[in-house]
Amino acid sequence: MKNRLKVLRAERDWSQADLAARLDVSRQSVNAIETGKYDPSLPLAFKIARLFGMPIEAIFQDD
Amino acid sequence: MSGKSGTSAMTRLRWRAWPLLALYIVLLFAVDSLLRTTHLAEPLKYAAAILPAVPMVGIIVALGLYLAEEADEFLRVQLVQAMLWGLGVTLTLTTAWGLLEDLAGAPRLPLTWVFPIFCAGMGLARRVIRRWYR
Repeated sequence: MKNRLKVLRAERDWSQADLAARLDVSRQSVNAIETGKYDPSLPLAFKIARLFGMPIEAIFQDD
Repeated sequence: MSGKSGTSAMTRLRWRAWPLLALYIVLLFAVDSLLRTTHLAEPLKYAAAILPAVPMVGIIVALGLYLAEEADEFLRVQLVQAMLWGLGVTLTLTTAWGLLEDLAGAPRLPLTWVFPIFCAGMGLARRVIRRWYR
């Protein structure tokens, strides 16, 4: 699954650690999601969407 | 949430698992030494021999508690993947060695090695998985 997490994070000038702290997850989690190696669960995807104030499908796209 | 020392659930796992591992090793040598030097009646001998299994079960419980307590889903997934690799390594090695024992007369592998093989396989897999996700 593709996602725009890295772009959205860069637009806000947040580091991976900043985003991880806001989501209450590890920095490794943010990195794995950004690189597409790990697809987050639905609750975490909703949390990410809420943080960026966007619908989930605007951040995550099916391949 | 997760620095060099890991999450609070990871810290708790370390505090639970390392002393249990140390106890397992100490009990293993102590019971082995006791049973070699002392003659015990059958029920007592069995009870003493099985004693090192108690901290071993504790280590498995500690792993289960970590999976229940870890709030970070990605870290939970990493441990589950490592445990599956550990299980795969253990099943493969012990089955292959069993075939060598039964069919080719290879020396007997003591069953007490099964858990250390699982731990080694899981530990190795954990390193590889962490590196892959980096």
